[in-house]
Amino acid sequence: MLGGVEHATPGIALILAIVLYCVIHYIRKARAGKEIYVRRVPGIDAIDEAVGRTAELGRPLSFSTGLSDVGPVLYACLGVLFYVARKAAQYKSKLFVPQYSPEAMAIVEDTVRDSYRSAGKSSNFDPQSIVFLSSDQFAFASGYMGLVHREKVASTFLFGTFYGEALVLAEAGQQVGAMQIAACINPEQVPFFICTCDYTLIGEELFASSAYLSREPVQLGSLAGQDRAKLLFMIFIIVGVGIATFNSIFPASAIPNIEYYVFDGQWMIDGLKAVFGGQS
Amino acid sequence: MEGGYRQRLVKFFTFLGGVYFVFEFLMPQAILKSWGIAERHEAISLGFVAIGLVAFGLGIINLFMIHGSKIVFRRKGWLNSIALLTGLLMMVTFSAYDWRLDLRHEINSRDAVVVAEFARDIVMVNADAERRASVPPLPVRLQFLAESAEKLRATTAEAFTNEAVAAQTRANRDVAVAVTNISESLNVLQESVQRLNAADNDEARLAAAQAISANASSLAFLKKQYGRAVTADSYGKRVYSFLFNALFVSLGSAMFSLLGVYIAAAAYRAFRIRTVESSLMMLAALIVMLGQIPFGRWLYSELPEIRAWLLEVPNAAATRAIGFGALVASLVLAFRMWFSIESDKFSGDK
Repeated sequence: MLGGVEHATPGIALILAIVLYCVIHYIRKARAGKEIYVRRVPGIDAIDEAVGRTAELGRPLSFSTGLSDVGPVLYACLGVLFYVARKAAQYKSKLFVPQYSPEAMAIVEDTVRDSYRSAGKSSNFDPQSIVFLSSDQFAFASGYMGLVHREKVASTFLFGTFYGEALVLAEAGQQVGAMQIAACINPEQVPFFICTCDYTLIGEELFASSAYLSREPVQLGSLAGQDRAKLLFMIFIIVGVGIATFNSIFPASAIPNIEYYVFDGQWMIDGLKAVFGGQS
Repeated sequence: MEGGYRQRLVKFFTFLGGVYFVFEFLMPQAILKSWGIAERHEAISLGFVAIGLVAFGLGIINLFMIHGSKIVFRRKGWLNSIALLTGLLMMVTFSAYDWRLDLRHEINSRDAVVVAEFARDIVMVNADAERRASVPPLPVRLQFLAESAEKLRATTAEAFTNEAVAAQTRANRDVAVAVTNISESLNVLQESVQRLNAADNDEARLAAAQAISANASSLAFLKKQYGRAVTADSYGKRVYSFLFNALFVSLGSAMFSLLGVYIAAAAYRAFRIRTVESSLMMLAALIVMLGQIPFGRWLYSELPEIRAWLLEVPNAAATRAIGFGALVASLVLAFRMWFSIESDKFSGDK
C-alpha cells in the first residue's frame, strides 16, 4: 500500500497532521533550549578523520550525492556537504563534487560556496570543482571512476541515492586506497557499501547526520519530532499485528484493522454523522 | 536588506510550489473534478517538469566551462576533454537530425491522424447529449467524415503510386513491405467509407465511423513506418544509430558488466569470517545462493524453502525497518523544505 496512495484519505491526513505537529513541537522545544540527545554514530564521527587524512596526504577528497535529485535526500546531504566543505576549506584540501543532476548542481554549488565563505576562505572556492558528469547512470559512474583514479583522492563521501552504480563508485575509491564513508537510503545498495566502505550510514542515519554534526536546534528538534512520529508508526504496527492475530484466532470477530482506519475514509464520515446527527 | 528580500521571495515561491501538490493530495477527488483541477493535473505536473528541465542548460554550460578551459590552457587530460566535447556536440547534432526526421514523418501522417480523431470524436460526441447540442447535426458530420476519408484515401493512393516510390520499393525490402501494407490499409479504408455511405440507420453509420477511425489510425502508423523505412539508410540516421547503439549503449553495458567483477572482489573482502556477524552473513549468503540453484535442492530438498523464508521474513523485516525510517525522515524533511524551516547554517549567515 505504501507508495501506492494517490490521494489522501481522512486517516492519512490525520497522520500527516500528527507528524507535522510532532516536528514543530520539538523544533520549538529545541529552540527554547531543551537538550536533545542524539546517539553516537561512528560513521559521522569518522568524517573529521577522513577530511584530516586528505590534508595529511596532500590529496583531494570527493563528495558525491549519487543520483539524488532535488528533494529531501539531497537536502539531507547538503548539511553534511556544508560541514565537509568547510573543513576542506579550513585545511586547504581540494574538494570535488561530481554531479549527476543539473538541477541539484546549482544548489550544491551554492552550498559549497557558502561553506567556503563561512570558513573565511571565499577566494579558495573553485566553481570548477563542482563537476557535472552526466545524467546517465553508468556514464556518471564511469566519469566518477575516472575522476577518482586521475585525482587519486584520499577520501570519498558517498551520501545520497544510489542504485546499480553504487558498487562501481565504491570500488573506484577502494582501488585508490581512499577512506570511504557512505550513507544510503536504498536498502538494496547498503550491503555493497558495507563491503567496500570504511563506514556506512544506513537509511535514516543519513538524515540524522546533519543534525549530529551541526547540533542546531532546528535540525535536532526535527530529528526528535520524526522519532516520535516513528513511535506512532511502531504502535500502529504492534496494534495491527495484535488485531490480525486476534482475527485469525477468532474469525467471527472480524475487527477492522489499522489499514481500514488509514486507507478508508468512511469511518470518519460515519463518526461525524453520529456526532452532528447526520448533517455532516 | 536585499538579501532578506531575496530570501523571502525564495521562501514564498517554495511554499507556493508545494501548496499545489499538497492541496491536490489532500482534497477529495470529487472536489478536484468539480474545480477542473483533476483534468489539468497532468499538464500542471508537466509544467513543473519543464521548469526543472531548464536546469539542463546549467549542466551543459558547466561542461563547456570546465572542459573548454582545460583545452584552452592545455591542462592535464585536455585530450580527453576534446573527446568529451566532440562526443557531446556530435550527439546533439545527430539527435537533432533524428528528431527532425521523426517530426517530418509525424507531419506526413498528420492528415490520417486528423481523420481518425474526427471519426472518434463523432462517436464520442454522439454519446454525450450535452456536447451533441453544440455541434452540427450527425448526418452533416458523417457526410463530412466520408468526404474527408475518401480524400485521404485518394491523396495517399496517388502519393504512393508514382515512379519514385516504385524505385524505392525495388531498392529496399522494408519500404516494399510498408508500401504493400499501406495499399492494403487503403482498401480497408475504402470499404469502411462505402459502408458508411450505404448505411441506412445511425447505428450502422456510427459503427462505420468507428471503423474509419481505426483504419485511419492504422494508416497514420503505416505512413510513419514508411517514412522511417525510407530514411533508415540515410547517412545521418546511420551515424546516429552508430553513436547511440554501437557506442552509448555498449559503453553503458560494459560499465554494468564491471559490476560482476566488483561484486566478486567486494564479496571476497567482506566474507572473510572474522566475527560472529560476518559468519552469520556468510551462512545466510550461502543458503540463499545454494537455494537458488538445482544443486542446492540436490544437497537438501528443503533448501529453497529455507532460502525463501530468509528472504521473505528476516530480510523483508530489516528492509522495511530501513524503509520506514527513511520515509518518515524524508516526509519530515519535505515539510521543512516546504515551510522553509531552515537551520541558521543555511539561512542565517547569508
